[in-house]
Order: sequence, then structure tokens, then C-alpha cells
Amino acid sequence: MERLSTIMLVLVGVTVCSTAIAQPTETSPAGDDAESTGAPADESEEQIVPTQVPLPAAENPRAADWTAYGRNNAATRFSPLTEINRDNVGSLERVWSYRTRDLPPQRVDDKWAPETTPLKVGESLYMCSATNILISLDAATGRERWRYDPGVSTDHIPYSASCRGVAYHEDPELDPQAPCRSRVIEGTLDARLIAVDADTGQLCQDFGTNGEVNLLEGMGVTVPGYVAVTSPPTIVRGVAVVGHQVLDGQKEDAPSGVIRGYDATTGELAWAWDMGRPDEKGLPPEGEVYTRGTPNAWTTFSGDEDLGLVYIPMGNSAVDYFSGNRSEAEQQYSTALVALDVTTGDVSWSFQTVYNDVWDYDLGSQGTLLDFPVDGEPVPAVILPTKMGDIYVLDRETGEPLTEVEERQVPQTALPDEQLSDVQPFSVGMPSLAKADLTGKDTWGITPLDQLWCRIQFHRAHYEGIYTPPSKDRRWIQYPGYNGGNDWGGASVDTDRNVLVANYTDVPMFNRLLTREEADEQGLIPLGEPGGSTSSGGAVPQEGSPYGVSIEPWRLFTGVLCNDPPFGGIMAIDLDTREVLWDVPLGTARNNGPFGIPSLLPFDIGTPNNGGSAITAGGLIFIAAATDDLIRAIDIETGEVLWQDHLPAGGQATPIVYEANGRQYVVIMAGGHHFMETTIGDYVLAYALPE
Amino acid sequence: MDVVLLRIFAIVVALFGGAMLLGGFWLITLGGSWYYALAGLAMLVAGILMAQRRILGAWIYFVVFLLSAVWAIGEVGFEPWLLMPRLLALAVFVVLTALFIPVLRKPTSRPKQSGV
Repeated sequence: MERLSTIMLVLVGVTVCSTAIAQPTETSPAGDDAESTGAPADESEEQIVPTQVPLPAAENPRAADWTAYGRNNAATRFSPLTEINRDNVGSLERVWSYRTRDLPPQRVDDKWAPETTPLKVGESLYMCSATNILISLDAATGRERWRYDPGVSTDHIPYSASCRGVAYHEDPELDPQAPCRSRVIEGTLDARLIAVDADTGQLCQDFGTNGEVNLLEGMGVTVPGYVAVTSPPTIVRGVAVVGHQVLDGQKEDAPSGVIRGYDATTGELAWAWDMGRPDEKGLPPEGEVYTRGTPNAWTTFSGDEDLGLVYIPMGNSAVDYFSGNRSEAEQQYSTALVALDVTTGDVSWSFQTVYNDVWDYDLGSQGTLLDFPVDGEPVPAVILPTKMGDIYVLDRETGEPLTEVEERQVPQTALPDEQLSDVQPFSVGMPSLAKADLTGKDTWGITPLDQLWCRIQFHRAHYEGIYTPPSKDRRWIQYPGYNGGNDWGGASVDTDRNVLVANYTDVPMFNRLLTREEADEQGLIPLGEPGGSTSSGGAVPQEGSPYGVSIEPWRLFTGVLCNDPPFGGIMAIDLDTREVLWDVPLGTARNNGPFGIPSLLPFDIGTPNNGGSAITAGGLIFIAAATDDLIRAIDIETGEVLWQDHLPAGGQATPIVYEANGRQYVVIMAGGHHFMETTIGDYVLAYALPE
Repeated sequence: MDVVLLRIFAIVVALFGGAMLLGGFWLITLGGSWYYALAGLAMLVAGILMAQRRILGAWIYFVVFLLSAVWAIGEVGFEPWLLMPRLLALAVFVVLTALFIPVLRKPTSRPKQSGV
């Protein structure tokens, strides 16, 4: 009931907002600037504030804050702060550092990738560590304010120990003095939703059972490591929308990818969207479970408070590389962007970016919401970069593409038991992050000999360009690879300049389907069966389908990649003209070299990268992400690196920008990433101009 | 001593060329570039000749490098990262070959036993 009344209040608020009959009400501490008008922060006091109705912090952060994973629920990753700008960024220096003290025990040090982006609200930072220890820091000094350890065992680590972030929520209906009026909510690797008081770190007793909700309820049979939350919930209209990852490639009978909405105050299940039971919104009845093996959504969602929609980039079915036995619902929603009505859990619209995805092109990027210029008129849009490199621009009310999308013929499979689509969509109306198809000339190496070996492999492999279907007789080249294109770092948008910035990886995969006999010979056992494990790199069994699959980056025993550099880059696109402003390699060769020996070469080779960027009104893009352990400030107009600093571990996380005590800070987690093969660490580092 | 080093270098060049010849032949059967087999064959010959202390081997190698440079630039233009696999190792061999020219030219120290 409390939930209903919250929704009613929000609906009233929205109505008031849209009719601009603003009642002076108590202003939310985190929602009072005029950023929604696009005004620079330092002029906000002079602007006419369009409404006094408090908007949630995540919808409309103060200029000084970063209140949601992507700074706001629109996920622009754009801070209006200007103290640090292109003229003075060269003197940026490290002003404090903090260590989460959550480092891997040796047994799991090959599964560590914190990927954490903190939030900043008021005077505090809120974050989680790799295994979900909730932490609040003083935003100005980095001093620890509180810490809550939910005690997540490392047995629950799925592919990686990752906690991309937390959500912040204020309930204006609660008494200002009540505990947990403002709270921090996280999902954990062991599938719990936990809420703590933002001031004290104490569990919110009004939330779920003693501050926790069990996300395994209704999931049926599962074992540790199968179902894990690695991204923060997205809270829209008081509903915390939660997805989870399901370990890839194990077996068809895997836990469900169900998406659920929980009341952010009470922790009550508001709805469940189970694509296999579209007409049922609650827990499955006794004896039943959420539909198994369905596509999950492991990345972060964006949300529109006004429309009451949350935008869910869906992943793929549990069996990634075979689609012959997927259900109709799976065929409809795998690798699709789904807009769910946050009040009812109904599908408002969906847009599929890959038909019959057998390439693990699951949508990893968070959608970014903005007003997109169509014939000079701003249209509320969601922009979604993909692992294929295509960038889709959709009307966020209807899901209709706002830029041209073309269906093109794609290569066909020779497997009798597979069913693939004749065509695939291509977002031709926007620049793509992908490069041209590979040819023999695009092979690489250190000497002509290793290049020749890659070239031989290229000609032996099955490759017909993007969407080359999986093959079992020989390896097939998948390009772009499953790391992108763009991945969970998403894109950032400078909403003043109307410039989108997206980083991307450019590494092909060298895969082969394994017959069931081969998979058995290799001893591939799915998680959940005796002898199964969470190891999901290299080869996976895909039990329940006719094939297992061997998945490798295309590289030689030397560790040197077989395609030519750059292996990753960053691109800026003018959204008015839809043209590329610049496109440069991201990352130097200093940490990479044959046999894993750092070359120390300071040249921009462009490395694979993971993690996103933050843009400021000071004309700067802050990004680490590359494998060279550098954080850099890039001029948004030229792509030139204006400043950089060497991190003590891999910067595979998105930085944030905020202001505390009148000083602007850039903060990044340097936690490293096992798959990116960067140094593992537990550092949170803050940069500012000298005082 | 110089001669020993020359022979080691020449054998490396010959082995490198031999490997390129074999791999390059495979590449041709797969429908790929002929460059590797041709360059590999020439390097193999150059290495064998240099091992025999015949200066012709050095000249052949220089020609291999020049033609490789032309081929590489034709294939990938002037992109440094792309020229690297194609030319860097070969350029190191060029420098070493040049350094060994005095050794190649030096009259053989072996007494001419035949023809007495």
C-alpha cells in the first residue's frame, strides 16, 4: 500500500511538473538545480526553476553531485562543473587515495574486476567493493565514514568479482529524522538486495527482512556463482529495478533472467518481468519457478521518471552460441533494448539489435537518455551503443528508430540444426564504432613470421564479415568480438555541445563450436553438476544444445593479438550533424608486449578497454579503461590527451566528477581486471587542482 | 670469432627465411599472399651464401629488404604500427648484414689446401 501511495505521489508530481503549476514544496537536497534546463551550473541561481516539485536525486542531481551510476538516471556521465578545464588540467594532482581492503584471496585472483563507480551525494561518496562491502567516504578528504560488510563469500563469484556501483534513494514520505530516509541500495554477488542508511551504514530495518531481500526467491535450482548482481539497481518512481547476470554458456536449464522491480523503501516485490510468463507479474506459484534459461540483463539500466520507463539492455539466452532451440520469447527479447513500465512491469516497447544472436553480442552498454535533434527539433531519445559498434538512436517513448536502420543480408549457417536470420539490422544513420571487415592484410605480429602465422590462421578460418555464423569444422572469426565495440562503460554525452563520446575495443574472437562428444572429451561440465565450476573462459559446455563452444581472443602463443592495432579507441560524434568529430586510439603500449612482458613503449597503440568516460562542461573527457593503467583527460574538441597519470592498478572503471567544499574532484577506482590482464588493486583515487 | 658470429647470424637468416618459405607456401595454397614464400626463399638463399662467406648473400638480402619495403608500403601505406611486423625484424637483419660486410670481404683465413 505504501508503494501505491508513493507511486500516486509521483504521478501527481509529474502532472504538476508537466502543467508547470508549481507548488512551493520542500526542496529535495539533491534535486534543486536547474540542470534540466541545460543551464551551466554556476548560473543556476539566475535561472527560472521550472518546478519546485522535488525530483529524485538520480533524476536530477545537483551540479556538485553524481547521484546515479551514469551521474543521473539518463546516464549522460556529463558534469556541469568547469573549475577543472582545458587550460588548467595539466596541473591536476592526486589529492587523496583510499583502499577498500577488499583484495582477492589467491584462489580467486584470476576472477577479480571491481569495475566500481562511486556515487557522490551531498558531502559523501557511496560505493561498493569487489565483493559488495558498502563504503561511504568523505567526498573532500577520502576519509572513511562508515563501512558495511554483508559477508559475501568468494564462492559466489561468477565470471568476475565485480560491483559496478550502488543506487542512492531518498524517500520524501519518511520523517526527516527517520533512519534510512536516505539510503544506499546494492545488489550482491550472492543475489541479495541490501539497503543501508546513507548516514550510518546501518541496515534499513524497513527494507525486506532486516534490510535484505533474497533475489533467489522463485529462481528454482541454482548454485553459488550462477546468479549474481554486478550492476547497481536503477530507481525510477520509487521502484528499484534489478537484473542479474547468469553465468554464460553452462546449460540451457540455467536460472531465469527475470527482471524485477522492488519498492525501494519496503523492499516488496512490485513486479517481475518473466518473458516466459508475460501475463504473470508476481512470484511464480508454488512449485513453479521463473522461466529458466531466458536472456538476462547484467548491465546498468537507465530510466525516465517522467515517462515512468526503465530501459533494459538485455543480454542473451543462457546458451549464447546456439539459437536453434530458443523459445519465441527468447527470440524476441535476446539482445534487445526493452522499455519496461516501472509501475506495472509491462513491456512498453522493445527493439532488437541482433536477431538470433549466436555471437554473445549481449547489450552491455547502458542506454543514454537525451533530447536528440531530428530536423532541428529535440526528440526525447535513448542512445544505445552496442558490441557490434552500431549506435542506435530510438524514440524513448515508442522505441521507433530516429535515425535510419537498415536490414541487410548476412552470411548463412551450414549447420542443419541451427536457425538464423537471413538479415540483421544495421544502424546506418549513425557513425559506427566498428572498423571495416578484416582481410589478410589486417593480420599483425612482431615479426613477419608471427604475422604470417596469423595470416595462415585467417585464411584457414571461416570468416565472411560481421555475423559470420558459428562453425564446428573449423574456427570462425567473430569480428567485432564479444568485448565490443562498446561494452558496459557505455557512452557519455556532453548535452551542452551535443557531442557523444564512446570508447570501444577492436579485437576479433577466434571461436569454434564443439560437438557434444568433443565437449565431453574436454571435460566441460556445466556449473551446478558435480565437477562443474564457474570458470567460463576458454570453452563452455552449453549443455542442452547440440554444441559446446571454444571462445578465444584471436592471438598467438606469444600473447600478441593477430589483428592490427589500434585494439581500441575513443570516438566523438556530433549529434547535430551525426558525423564523427574525431576518432583516436585509446591506450599506450607501455604495459603490453610479447609473452606478457611490458614493452614500456609510450606510443598510442590503442588497447582493449573496459570502463566508460566522464565528460565535464570544462571541455574535458576523463577516462582510464585502457590496459596501460593511465587515467587521462582528453580535449573534447580535438581528442588530444591534455593530462595523464599512472594508476597503481588497472583503471577498468568509469570515473566520476563532483564538487565538495567548493573544490572539483575527479575520482576513479583502480581495481584492475582479470580479463584485461591489468594489475589488480583496491585503490580509490581523487584528483584535484592544487589549492 | 667474427666468422663464428657471421655464421650464427647467417644461419638465423637462413632459418628465418626457411620458415617464411614453408609458411608462405602454405599461405599460397590457402589463396593468400605470395610475398612470404618468395621473400622467405630469397632469405634462405642469402643466409646460406653468407654462411659460406659469400658477399653475394649480403647483396641478395639487401634486395630482399628493399623489395619487402616496397611491398609493405604498398600493402599498408606508411602506418608505423602496420609496417612494424613487416619490416622491423628485417631492418635489424639489414643492419647486422651491413656490419658483417667486412667479415664477408676479408680474405679467407683458411689456407688453400687444394691446388697446391
